[in-house]
Amino acid sequence: MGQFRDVQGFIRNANEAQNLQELSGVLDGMSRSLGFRYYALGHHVRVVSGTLLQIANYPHSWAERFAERGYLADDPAVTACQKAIVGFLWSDIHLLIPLNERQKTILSESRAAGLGEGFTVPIHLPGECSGSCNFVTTFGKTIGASVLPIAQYVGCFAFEAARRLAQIAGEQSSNCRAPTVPHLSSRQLDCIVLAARGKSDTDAGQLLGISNQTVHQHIETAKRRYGVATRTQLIVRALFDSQLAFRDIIRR
Amino acid sequence: MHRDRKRLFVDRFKWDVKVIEGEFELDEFDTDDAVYLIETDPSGNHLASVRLLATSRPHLLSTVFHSLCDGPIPTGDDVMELTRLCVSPEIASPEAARLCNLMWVASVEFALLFGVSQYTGVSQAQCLSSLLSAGWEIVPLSLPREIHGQLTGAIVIKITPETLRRARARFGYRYPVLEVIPQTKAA
Repeated sequence: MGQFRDVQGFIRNANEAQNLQELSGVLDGMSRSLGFRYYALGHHVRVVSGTLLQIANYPHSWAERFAERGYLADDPAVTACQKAIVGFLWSDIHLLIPLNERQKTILSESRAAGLGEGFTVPIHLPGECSGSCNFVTTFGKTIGASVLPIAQYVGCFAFEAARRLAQIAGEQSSNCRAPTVPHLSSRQLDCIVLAARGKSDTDAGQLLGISNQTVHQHIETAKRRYGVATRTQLIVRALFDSQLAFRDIIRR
Repeated sequence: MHRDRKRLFVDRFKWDVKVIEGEFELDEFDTDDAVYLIETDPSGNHLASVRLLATSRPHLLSTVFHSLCDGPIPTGDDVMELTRLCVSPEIASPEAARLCNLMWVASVEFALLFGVSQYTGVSQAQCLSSLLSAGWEIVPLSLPREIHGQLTGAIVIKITPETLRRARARFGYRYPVLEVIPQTKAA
């Protein structure tokens, strides 16, 4: 089966890519062979420090306008990712989220810039900001349903390859290896989750059936293991290391 | 374990699998030859488990999910099929996530101890990103297909000492988690 061989070849090449530029070339070739013209892969939230993972081959005019007007935060596909666990077509976004005026503007401007139907593969990793891999046709061109499962796989493998390359680049620039994750007991994690939900030591103690001093002790020990001074730092670090997930803290 | 598997796979995930006496999920591959990695609480109650099957005899990919594979299915003494990863449905996150990660680390340790170089398995498309980000080297055996409305694909996970190093670093384990208890075969 030719398409499967293409995907296998893509995975091999993506895994062997030495830098994001090489990966961009591999992803460009694969998305074209699937009938798309453009791709955009990246994280959704701009982090304060460190690099935002972003690679794309959108037309220059559209990429510039998109950045200038700060469209990322309101991008309908980005917003719809919060409601989706597998890939979706841009023409179905209105089924996932209600579109506001600004989002309708973004969609119509993207069409004016030459972008057609898109397919977005959401990437949700515990403890990391969400991202996606998007495949887009030129305006006026549709995409067959049989391509979508393939794009789903390509998107996942491409994102992981990009994530790995960004990590390597980060480690090289800071000239050190990523620190290992300190071990936290499940009781310590329970206490951290409740603290992150805004519970006092007393409330947390009642929920867990232990004393408020014990809750305090658990959190102090966890802080020591991380070598941090405050609860806020502890929560952020534990989230970053995927010791707990945003889902544990925020119930919607 | 079989009671939790029924609650998780049948009651929650609505899988179309056999149930024994109304409360146990148990199929034709749950035999003396199956290997189980199990985490229990101090009183021996099941918390989480995973089932490993030899691929030299019939297993899920070679039978039930045979149509998921486009090419030959990897089999042999150094290949096992990893199925029925189950965390007791009563356990809430983040403990459930910790147990799930523990099962992954234990599976890698088992593979290295017993000379398993590859696990085969079936994965839903939405799980692929988190499996990849855990550092597993995953090779798809087919393009994903829709099964009961879920995009599902057969995969191979390659295991090397590097896999264990990455898994331990990612999940915060410094020491082996696996304790081997030789099975006493029932008469």
